[in-house]
Amino acid sequence: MTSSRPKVLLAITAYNGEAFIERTLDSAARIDTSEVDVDVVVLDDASPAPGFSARLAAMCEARGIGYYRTPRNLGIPRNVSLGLLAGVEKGYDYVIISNSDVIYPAHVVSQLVRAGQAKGVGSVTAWSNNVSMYSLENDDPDRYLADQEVVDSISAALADQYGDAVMDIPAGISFCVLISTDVIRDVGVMDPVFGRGYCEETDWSLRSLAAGYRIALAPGVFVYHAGRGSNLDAGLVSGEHTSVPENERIIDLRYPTFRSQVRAFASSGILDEAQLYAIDAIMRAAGRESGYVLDVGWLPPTETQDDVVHCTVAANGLEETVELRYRGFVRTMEVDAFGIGEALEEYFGRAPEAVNLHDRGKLSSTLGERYPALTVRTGNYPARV
Amino acid sequence: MADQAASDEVTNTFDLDGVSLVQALRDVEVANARVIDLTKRLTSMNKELVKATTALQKAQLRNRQLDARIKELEKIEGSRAFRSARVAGRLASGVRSRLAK
Repeated sequence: MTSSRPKVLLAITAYNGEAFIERTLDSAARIDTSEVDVDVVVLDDASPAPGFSARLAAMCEARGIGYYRTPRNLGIPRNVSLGLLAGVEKGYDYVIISNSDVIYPAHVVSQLVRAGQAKGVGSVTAWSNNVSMYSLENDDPDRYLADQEVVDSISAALADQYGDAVMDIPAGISFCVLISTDVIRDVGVMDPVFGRGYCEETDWSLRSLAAGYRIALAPGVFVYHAGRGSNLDAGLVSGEHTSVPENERIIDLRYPTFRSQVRAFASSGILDEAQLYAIDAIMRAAGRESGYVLDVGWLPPTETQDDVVHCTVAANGLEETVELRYRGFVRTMEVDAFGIGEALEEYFGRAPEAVNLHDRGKLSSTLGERYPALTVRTGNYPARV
Repeated sequence: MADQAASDEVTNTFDLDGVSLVQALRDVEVANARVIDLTKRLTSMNKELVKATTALQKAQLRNRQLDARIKELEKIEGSRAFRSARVAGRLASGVRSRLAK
């Protein structure tokens, strides 16, 4: 590293995608540069949609983002390689390779760089709603998460929880991955044998692992990822497929133990625990920031406010759990139902915004008495048969 | 067509032509080397395949011949003459053992 402020190139690979790329560029243009120097470039892989490239170039110019259109279509692996090589040739310390259907939190680069500085780390993948097996499960990410403010707040909650920690994973995902240029020099670029794409980052990750570098996921940064936008557009994958079988066969041939390593990682429980704590952190932060509503009834309410956490508890108090829902994330907490008011106040550090009594029962009465000014009776017949 | 032409005429604000060209040439070199390597491996595996197929065919032929002999033997075993000879043989050995006493 030559300077104290890391120099980072964010290379966004694009192939058509008019429906979502402007949102990605807006998000990239507002990345926080207080700790890092960031240049953004869009690598347009000769998008064939009529007039799209000209419009994309104009969008980039309006936002001070670099633009490069390849003379002919290279396919994902070679376009990604171009981004990696640009980082090396133009003197950057790190390159972030990113898809064009994402929304970055403002702190994305500084968080990824901090994670990338952990000992032995060669590449760092951001966390997301759509990042292969590492995804943070969400009921409807496009509805609940595709918003800049939401991404910023979720990522801030995860940064509070995890800081600049890293989690070793079997393979990186290039939807948003940071790689040091020193590592690129050592490991090389993507293998064009993967044609138009898929599995090339798995191959690269496993090559980096063989060269002695750790493959990491940064749980302290959340990037929204719509997923497969360009690849569906290009006909690279069909609606029901998430990969390219012939490329998977190359991985199987080169790394016969990879699948069993992935299975071992999945069954280790590390990821489950990280996901649980992450959703817990998101819930807690949202409840503290925007409040929470206690819904007393047999089923979660069908209409909810997106900005508050909805806590659903059974009306009779016999089920010792409360289900927390916030923007498509779900967490089930074990509680003493008749101490739920105190438990949630302690958890969120505040009283509920409202108590909605959808169904009658012993717990409904108790909560009605505890929060008389906040309680609204909204039910008619019991929700459960 | 006019829109397509506009796509082709966009101005790059980040120059990567040189980097792209160098890497493309490397990719071509590697691709050529891979084709040569794959061709070598294909031809040598093809030779192995021909060898293995020949050995298999020979074994199948021998197997067929053995099958034919087994069938012939089974036919002989099932014939009246063979059964009579076997009975006669048993009788003869009985007589021989009695005479020996």
